[in-house]
Amino acid sequence: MNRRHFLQLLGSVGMTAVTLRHGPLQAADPNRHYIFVHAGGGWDPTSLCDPKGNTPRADNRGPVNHYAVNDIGEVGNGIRYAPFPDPDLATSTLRDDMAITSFDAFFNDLASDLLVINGIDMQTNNHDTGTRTMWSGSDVQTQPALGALIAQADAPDSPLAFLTNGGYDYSDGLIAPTRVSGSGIFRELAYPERYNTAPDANLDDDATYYLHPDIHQMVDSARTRRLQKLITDTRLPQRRVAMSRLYTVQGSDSNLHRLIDALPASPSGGLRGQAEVAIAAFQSQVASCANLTVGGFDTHGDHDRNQSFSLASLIDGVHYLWSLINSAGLSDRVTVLVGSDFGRTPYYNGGNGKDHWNVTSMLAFGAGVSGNRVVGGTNAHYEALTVDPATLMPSTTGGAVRLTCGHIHHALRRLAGIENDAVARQYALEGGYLPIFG
Amino acid sequence: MLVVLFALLPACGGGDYDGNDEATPIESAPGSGSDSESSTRGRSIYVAQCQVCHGSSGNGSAAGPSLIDCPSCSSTNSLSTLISNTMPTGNSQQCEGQCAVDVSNYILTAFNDGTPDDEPPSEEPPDPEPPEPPSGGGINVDGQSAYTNQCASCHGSNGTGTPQGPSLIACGSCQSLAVLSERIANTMPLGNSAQCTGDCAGNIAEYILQAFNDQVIGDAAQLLDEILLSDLKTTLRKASLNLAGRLPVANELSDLEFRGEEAFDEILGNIMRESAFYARMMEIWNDFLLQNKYLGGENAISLLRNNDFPQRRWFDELGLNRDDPGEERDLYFWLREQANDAMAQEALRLITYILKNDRPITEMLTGNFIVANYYSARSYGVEGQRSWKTLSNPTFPDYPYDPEDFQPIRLYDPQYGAFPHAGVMTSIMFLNRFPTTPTNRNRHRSRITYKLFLDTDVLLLDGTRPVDAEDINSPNPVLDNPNCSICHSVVDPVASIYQNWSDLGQFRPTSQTGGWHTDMEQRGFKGEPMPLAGNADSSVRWLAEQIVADPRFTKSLVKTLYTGITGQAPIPVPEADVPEDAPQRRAYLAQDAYFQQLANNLATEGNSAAGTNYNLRNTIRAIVKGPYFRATSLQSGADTAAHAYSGSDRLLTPEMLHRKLVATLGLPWQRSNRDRLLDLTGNGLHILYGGMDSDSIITRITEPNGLIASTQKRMASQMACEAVARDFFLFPNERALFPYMHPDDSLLDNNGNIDPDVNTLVISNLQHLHWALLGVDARADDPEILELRNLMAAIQARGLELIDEGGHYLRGRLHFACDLTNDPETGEALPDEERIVEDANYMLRTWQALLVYYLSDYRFVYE
Repeated sequence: MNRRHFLQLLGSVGMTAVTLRHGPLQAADPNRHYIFVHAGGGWDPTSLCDPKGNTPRADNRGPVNHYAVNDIGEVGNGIRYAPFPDPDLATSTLRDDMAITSFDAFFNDLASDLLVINGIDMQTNNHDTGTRTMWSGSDVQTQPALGALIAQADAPDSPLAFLTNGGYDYSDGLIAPTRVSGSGIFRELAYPERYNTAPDANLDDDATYYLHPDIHQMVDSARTRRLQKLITDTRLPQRRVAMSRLYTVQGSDSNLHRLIDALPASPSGGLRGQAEVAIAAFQSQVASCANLTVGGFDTHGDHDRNQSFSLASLIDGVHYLWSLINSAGLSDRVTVLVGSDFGRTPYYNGGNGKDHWNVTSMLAFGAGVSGNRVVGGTNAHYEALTVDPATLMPSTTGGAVRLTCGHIHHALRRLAGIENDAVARQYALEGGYLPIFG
Repeated sequence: MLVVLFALLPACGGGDYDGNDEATPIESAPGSGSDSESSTRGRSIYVAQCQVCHGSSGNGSAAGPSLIDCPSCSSTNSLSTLISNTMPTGNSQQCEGQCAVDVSNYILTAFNDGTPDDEPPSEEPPDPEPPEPPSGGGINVDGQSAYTNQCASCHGSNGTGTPQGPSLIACGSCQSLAVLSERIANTMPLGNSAQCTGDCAGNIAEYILQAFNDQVIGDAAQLLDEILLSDLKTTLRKASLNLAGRLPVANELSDLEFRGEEAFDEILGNIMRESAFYARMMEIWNDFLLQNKYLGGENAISLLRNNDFPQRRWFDELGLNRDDPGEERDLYFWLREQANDAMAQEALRLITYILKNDRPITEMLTGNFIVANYYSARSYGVEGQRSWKTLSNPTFPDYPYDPEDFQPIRLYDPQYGAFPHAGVMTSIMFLNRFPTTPTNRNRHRSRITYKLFLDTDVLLLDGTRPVDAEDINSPNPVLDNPNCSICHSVVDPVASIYQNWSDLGQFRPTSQTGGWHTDMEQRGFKGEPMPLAGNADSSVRWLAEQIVADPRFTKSLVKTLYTGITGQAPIPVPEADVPEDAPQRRAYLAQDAYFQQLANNLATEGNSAAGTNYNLRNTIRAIVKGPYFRATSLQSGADTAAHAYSGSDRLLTPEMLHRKLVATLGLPWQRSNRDRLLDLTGNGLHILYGGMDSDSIITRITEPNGLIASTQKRMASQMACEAVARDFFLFPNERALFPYMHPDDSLLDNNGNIDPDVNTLVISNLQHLHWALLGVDARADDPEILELRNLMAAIQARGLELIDEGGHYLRGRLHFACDLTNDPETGEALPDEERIVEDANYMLRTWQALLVYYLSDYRFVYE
């Protein structure tokens, strides 16, 4: 049990007083937002942003990749990227099912914005631990996701502060993550007391309500008074905590009506759809952070073909997200991070697949990120290289360090302005600050 | 072949498995003496702490790798660092600093050909203060010392257990000094029981009882006694809704009032025989086993290989026209659904089969069978094994077999013969849900086995990650590199046990298919190798027998049921530096002792000869009647901080809320004939309301958020709208909501005052609603009842004003979405006089508003 959590729990429900948040809207911080895109299952950065090619390994394990070294692309300031992992797939009849069959457009369009962090040592190759480490900076089981830390600091009263489509969304009780299952239901939930929520409904007409709004208001007030009294009367801390949480969310305006106004008329599916909801939530100032996810990266068999499908969905979705951010004028307010559980082995197994490997990469762009750069690195066998702590270039000098998620999250906390947040400080990170994001 | 890292290694680093390391670290005199003196000291420490796993010659055992030429044996520095950080497993603080240096020097001198180097140890200089002497004070000091040296590495320094050994708090052998002494003398340490007999065993037993039982259990009892319990009537309502999705009926309540606890036990026993209870058990177990992933379509059937089960799609061979709407198409999809879903849930159905037939729950692992209904048995090609129950009025007369009739079957592989079943663990569905790969070698399945059935998270094994994690250069790191073997020595023997089952869940005995990997630990459990004779092809069954004999098995069952029934996760293990008397440690120890007692009772209640022990119903009854489920308040003067987790108030899961609506209103919440809270599709609310799909979403949201609050409001508005007219349509004695009222009753008279006659009826009906919807037995003069009556008066008054003001509400009728013009049962149009449309005095809408209040109240959306 995390002591901080325990003390917070007791403090918040101290038997003498309860601080309840209830009342008019307090929207998320309108100035800064964060999106965490999780490639579920463990992606292969050598098939994307840390390419090696088909040079045979000296230890006779075969090549790291099947594609030719000459097919590796490069944009901007040394950002190298792999060709599409399965060229046969790209030209096969299955191409109609795939969003993209090349990474060229993505890297060309984003080059000036993109920061590639290579050679991150995840110190694990377990899915659960890796996912937690990637998005919290630590393998400790009670470590909350960075999104939860930022949301509790920036928008503690917003009921939708931390939107999540999966990935790592553990909050250690700091804030309630909101699970999004599709945008089609939002209109009904935006107007929960109305019978008619159709897009063409006249919202000024009281007849759209099940009961007259005055009556709903009377009921709400009575229920709120009752809950306040229950909270005051109960002597059971566990019950008081539960009541207080409900009191908080019942009394807050979720502002879903603003969110649905910002959503496109015809929402997309997949990662594109997740991106649309996140950006609409930011535009309408109802959310602070969002988790987006794409799965299918656990390619123990037929690696090139299966990574192709998942990378196509991922890169297409992230590319679309980038364009949405720009078209919404949010490029100075939204930071995007793309990562995964870990990487995959720098050789193929007997099933032409790749197993788990503790070295991986991250992509970052957006507000606060100095782009057109690559930091960190790996050798020809895709082993992490130590880096100079100032330049972040591979180095073997005395002070050189091995990049970990602890370093990255130190930098992210500083970027998000929560480095000294009292709550965030309760969740320790290993590794010091490095100027990773510029 | 070199093996790299596997999917379980990581966690070395978590560090705090038992989190309770209170033992004083054993340290030799700091930095003093020569290497030979250090080595001499190291030898005595090695014998006491290391030998049991690594062997007297350092050549290893099933419980620990060889130390001869080990990867970290290149220098005192590297080896002592490793020992300081990781050894003994589960209690790494026991030997740090000079202690680790001394042991390293001994290992290098005795088992490796080099002599210790002169590198200084990398740790900070050890604390110059001598170690604190044992505190004594009623504690057997000799026993404490012996326990620390011989037992703590497996059972934890404070007896709370590690992956190597179970908790000793309230342990099964802890009922008396004699029993525990004998147990220790005869069995401990594992594999070397001669090491501690006589006084040694007696001292340790006394220490265990003093330190981990008398004191802890006494404190636990005191803490739990501070919890005030709900009365039996309230408890029965809560249990009935929780376990069977219904309210207690009138004769049950009257019986309870008359006969008290005896009736309670009887009614609860009956509830635990209802079909809804078995469905609830499957729901609880699925949260852990995640088998519902394969429901629907052919998701389960497609996991079978055609060569293994050529009948798997038997319904395809019937020549049914499935393209055109009609009875044949309906039959085709019905048959497919019965076969697929029975197969998908076979592990869950096995558990309910055991419950229904009062068999010991140990059979969920040890049973040499799986269960099937006629339809899934036919897919497996074994429908002839059983005589299947038929329905008197089946949906499709050609297929009269009851889909709910699940019976034991044994599967056969065309090439390798009869499956050596081990209950859930060899279910093809289970093996597919927790898959493996050629390089993972069943390690994932091993981890899941520990987690699900042994109350052990191997990811929390003590240890640290190597600085260079990409160890592909050691000849065999999982055996030779202690950084790896610390986890693999626990995980791999169990992983190897699954060797007869392929990544697709097929029975493929390695004795006939080319053997198993030789570069990993071979089959075994808790340091004991599996005897090959008679077990080679049925090793999972051997494992099952070991698991059910392990005290952690019953504890894992107890925790599963506790979590499912109360909605509360067990209290996490406190961090190591939390003091013994700190509230959170008291809370944890009290609950752990409570769990252990339930686990002991599960194993011992009933008659083992008659097979009536291991009955889960006893455990469920104990949980329902226990302090956590029934907590309603605390005694004055109670240590509030230590009760932070006392209670079981939970945000209802979408499934539970769905059932509660049906139970209380007689109506499901639906749209387009789909149950909204169960609907997993895009416009469904199941995931949004915190549910899971057992596939990509495998955890529940337990705290409300903005969307959940909006969903509650919408549910309350819509269901109140639908329920009022429908309930008033029924005869008063049939009504769930308004048995005391007539639709024309008006609380306010023509002068706007409360009508005293109607007031009496309204008060009675509010009492009824308070009990039915909130579970609160309120008196007529309860302030909350009176407040609600006043709210009703205010709502009706405002409603009458709205009618007077004109506009939409002038019409004096219900909203067309809320009126009743068709018979709710038949759907036929009602004659005008039976329709419920008019509401001239705004009273029906007043009740509708009251229902909105009730359905969005904390006490409705929580239980």
